Amino acid sequence: MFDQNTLTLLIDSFPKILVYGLKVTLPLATAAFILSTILSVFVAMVQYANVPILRQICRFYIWIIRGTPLLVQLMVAFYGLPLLGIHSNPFIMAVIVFTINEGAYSAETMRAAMEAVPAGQLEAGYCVGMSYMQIMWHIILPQAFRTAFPSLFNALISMVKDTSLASSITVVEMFTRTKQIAGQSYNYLPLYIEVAIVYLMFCTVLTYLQKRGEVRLGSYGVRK
Amino acid sequence: MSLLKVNNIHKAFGTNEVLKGINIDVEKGDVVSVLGPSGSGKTTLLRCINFLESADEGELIFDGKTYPFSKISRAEISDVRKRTGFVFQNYNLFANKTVLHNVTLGLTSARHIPMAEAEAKARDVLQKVGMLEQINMYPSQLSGGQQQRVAIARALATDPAILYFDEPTSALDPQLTAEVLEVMKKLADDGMTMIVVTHELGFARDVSTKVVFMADGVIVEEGDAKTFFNNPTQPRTKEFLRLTNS
Repeated sequence: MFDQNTLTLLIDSFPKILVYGLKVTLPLATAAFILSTILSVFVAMVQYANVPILRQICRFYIWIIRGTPLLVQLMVAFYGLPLLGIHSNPFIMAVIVFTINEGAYSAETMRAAMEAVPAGQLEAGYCVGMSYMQIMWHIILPQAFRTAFPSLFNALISMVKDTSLASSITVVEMFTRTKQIAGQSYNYLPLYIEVAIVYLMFCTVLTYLQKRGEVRLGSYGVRK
Repeated sequence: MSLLKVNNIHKAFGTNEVLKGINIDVEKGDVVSVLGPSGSGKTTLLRCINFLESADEGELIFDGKTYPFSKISRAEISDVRKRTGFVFQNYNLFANKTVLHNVTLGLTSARHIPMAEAEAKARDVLQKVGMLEQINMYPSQLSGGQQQRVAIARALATDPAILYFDEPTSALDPQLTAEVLEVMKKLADDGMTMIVVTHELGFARDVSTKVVFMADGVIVEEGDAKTFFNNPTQPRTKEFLRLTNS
């Protein structure tokens, strides 16, 4: 399998694959992760605060998104949005779909993390005269974010790999690029193993960042 | 004139009536100890007065203004809370904030006081409770007694007209209890108005100006501390004092 030609092919293709990883895969995952985290905080807060009507809308959103495959969501957006007069480049469309998809899952993570903050924290905030939003901002969200951080990072790591699905809506990302190279050379297996290793590299770096992030976020004086 | 008056407060959780029409009258400088067996409604009373629970009936007269419990607005609740302080049984210090920021947060966020001024105030009250040295520590690094003293400082920092204590020493061992009670006694000596729900009879006897004894959601007996402890009139009170003093 690994003759001289294959070796040359792998070495030649490595930078080509990596470039698409850095140029498309990571930006797509990072943008969608940041936006989905922001979205999830809003959706979680609406439920935590039990805002009528909005709460039902959020439950509906989570129900729809968690109940349908990501690949189907990508397709529906790809063929559906133009019918609504929304024409956008596939990359932007992918960012939107990944954001909406991940937002539903992360919202549940955030909600659970917020509910894990003891009720006494909220009461103590009220008793020093703070408003609900002030308590959210200074007390509940920072503590919830600390709790949710590992799960949110899980989501990011999943998303880096799920971006390969964006190929189905014509986004040329790292995996699609690999497929193209493989198609030209008819040498599939070594290249797919190579791209798997690049994904693994990305996720290894992210795992390291998660560890750093957890240390940085601190545990409020609790020694580990 | 009384600083705080509670008229005919009622509260039920479902069908369980916890407060059955209670009246309390607190004058400026009073230290009111609320005693009674567990489940008598003492804590619920205190929580209702600061709107952590919503009472079903009755009114609160605070600093000359009347607030009916069932019709009070969110803004009015916030107004009253900004002029009162609350100390919880389990401290409830903000877990993600240092001692300093636990004390300053109510000043900087709720009252928009500049940080420098808030910090000066915080140092002042932390000095009072003997917690100035731990100013940069997190609550999880402190003992229970230290946490409760910081909680008292946090409540004091906002210059409240009245301080509520909800069993402030019930989670503490005798030694830590003593250090918290010491701080509370000092506050009383300084003329702080306080309502203290407690099981510490020694504190009630020696420090409070007034004792209220509750059982089953009603006030069984009340009076000045000396009369209450030396000449209780109600059988329920006598029984309570006999059992707890033995």
